[in-house]
Order: sequence, then structure tokens, then C-alpha cells
Amino acid sequence: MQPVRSLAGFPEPFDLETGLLEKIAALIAPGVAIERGEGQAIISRDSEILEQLLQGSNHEPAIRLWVNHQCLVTTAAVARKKEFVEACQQAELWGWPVHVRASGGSTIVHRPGILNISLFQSGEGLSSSLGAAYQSLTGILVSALGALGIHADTGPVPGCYCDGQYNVRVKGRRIAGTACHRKNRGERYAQVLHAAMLVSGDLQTDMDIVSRFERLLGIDRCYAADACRSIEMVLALDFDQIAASQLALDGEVE
Amino acid sequence: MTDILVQTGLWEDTDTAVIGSWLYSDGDVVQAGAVIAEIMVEKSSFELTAPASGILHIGAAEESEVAAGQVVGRIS
Repeated sequence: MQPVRSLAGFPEPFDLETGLLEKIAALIAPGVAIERGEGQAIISRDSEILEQLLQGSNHEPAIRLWVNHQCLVTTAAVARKKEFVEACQQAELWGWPVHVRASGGSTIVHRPGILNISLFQSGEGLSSSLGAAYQSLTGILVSALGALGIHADTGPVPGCYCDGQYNVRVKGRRIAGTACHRKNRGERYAQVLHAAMLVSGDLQTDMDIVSRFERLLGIDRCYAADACRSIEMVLALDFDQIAASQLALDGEVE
Repeated sequence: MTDILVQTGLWEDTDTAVIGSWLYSDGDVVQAGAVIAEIMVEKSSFELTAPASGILHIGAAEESEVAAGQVVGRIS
């Protein structure tokens, strides 16, 4: 774990171990408090907000930041598999209860160290295209990472679980996965763009637990341990490079 | 008979869309405006609503690929 450092976006030094999630949250949505909860309730809150948006007249985009306890989160399609109930019982024994979300994709991990970002949009008639909608979320995340001195882009990352076209990537590795859920009532629509950003923690365990759960469901996918990066890992690597450069400079001066 | 059409203009033509699930069974009675199916596109779920009230006739299986504007069922 890195000690207290000063960082591009923050004039005040901070401890990477305890303050990074709050720092990145403040860059993504200044002034928005991080909700902390457990299990299905904090996941289902997105759908509840969509229903409120469908019934109201508010068209302003809104953002929600939240952190869940340790669990697996999968899709309704996976939940319809005949092996699902037994697989959930087994995963719970491992310490990973399973919950279901409304958006697409496949099974992912929630836990402290993963920041969930939900961007809500609503209006009448057709919205922007799906790509543009995803871009409205990934653009926020790319800008926030940029403030930390991290260059990010969007695109697929072959080898990572729950892959898609609109991951946020750093040097080709996924740092945030995204998904979307859209609801309609007549001409009115509401949609939530969701991202799960890897801030810190054990990514190997994340991948292993997803793989083990999927094998119980008869899904035999092979994931690459190196396909993901956390912000903590990226910053640590950069700090090491900065330190190495500084040592080289010091050597030249002497 | 009223056709049930996959929405148009919501995703790129190059994206692959599939019927994620039918929320009613073939032959069920549905009400106009009810959510009857989910379309999955690029990790996104879109609701498909009944264009009329009546009996649902499913024309595309779950997990099958569909195109924007395609008829995936009818309501009689």
C-alpha cells in the first residue's frame, strides 16, 4: 500500500489506502454524498428512481454514487437458469451473496473498493443513441481520471468478465465496466447508465469468484487476470515511474 | 392483428440486439402499454411494450437476434 502522497488533482497529500474512493467520487460528482448499503436494496434503488423519473417531469440528469457490501450481481437472464438457486446457495457459503440487477451484461462484483456510479436521464420521445448515452457517463469518468493524471479511453477489453464496447480503459485494461437500463411509459423514457469503477482491492479474487460462480451455472468462460486495473494500481505504477525518474534525475545532478 | 415491432433509433445498426426475455407467455392476454418483453443490446436492457390489448402471439424466441423495426410478435 502506498503511503501519503500528493497527487495531480489534489493539492493536499492524502493516504491512498483510506481516501482514494472519496477523492475519485469528489472528482466525478462534487458535493454528491456516497451512499453505502447492503445487498439488493441499494441495487434496486436505481430502478426506483427510474420509476420516479417516469412519473415526474424532471428532465435534468442526476448522478448517484454508491458502494455495496461484498456480493455478486448478475442479470435477470442468468437468474432464469435452472442452476441459479443452487449456485447462489454455494456462492453465499463462499461469502458472496448473489443479487440481480435490471441492466444487461453478465455477472460482476460489488464490494468496498468498487465505486458505483449511476447517471439518470429522462425525457420525452427518443433519447440520444445508445453510444451517445454511454458516452455521457464515460466522459465524466474519463475527465475525473484525467484530473488524477490518468489518461483513459473507452472500448472493449477482451478477457475481462462482463466485457462490452463502453468500458473505461487505462492502457487497454478495464478500470470501469458499464451497463444501461431504459424504461418507457408512453412517450416518456427514463434510463440509467451505470458504471462500476475499480478503485482498490483484490482484482484476482474478483475474477476468481465470478469464474467459480459462472462454472456452477454451466458458463465456462476464461478470463485474463491482467485484463483489469484498479485506480490504486495505476497510481502506484505511476508513482513508481515518477520515483524512478526522480532518482535518475538526481543521479544526473550529482 | 397488431404487429409488435422492435424499437428503432435507440441503438447503432452495428449493435446486436436479442430478445432477453418475454414477460408473458404465448397466448396470454396483455393490456396496451404493458411491458411484455426486454430487448438486450450491448449490456443495455430496453422495454418492449404492448401496442394494443389482446392475446399475445410470440414470434421470436428468447435469446434470438432481432433487428430494429422487426416484427417479433402480434396481438390479436
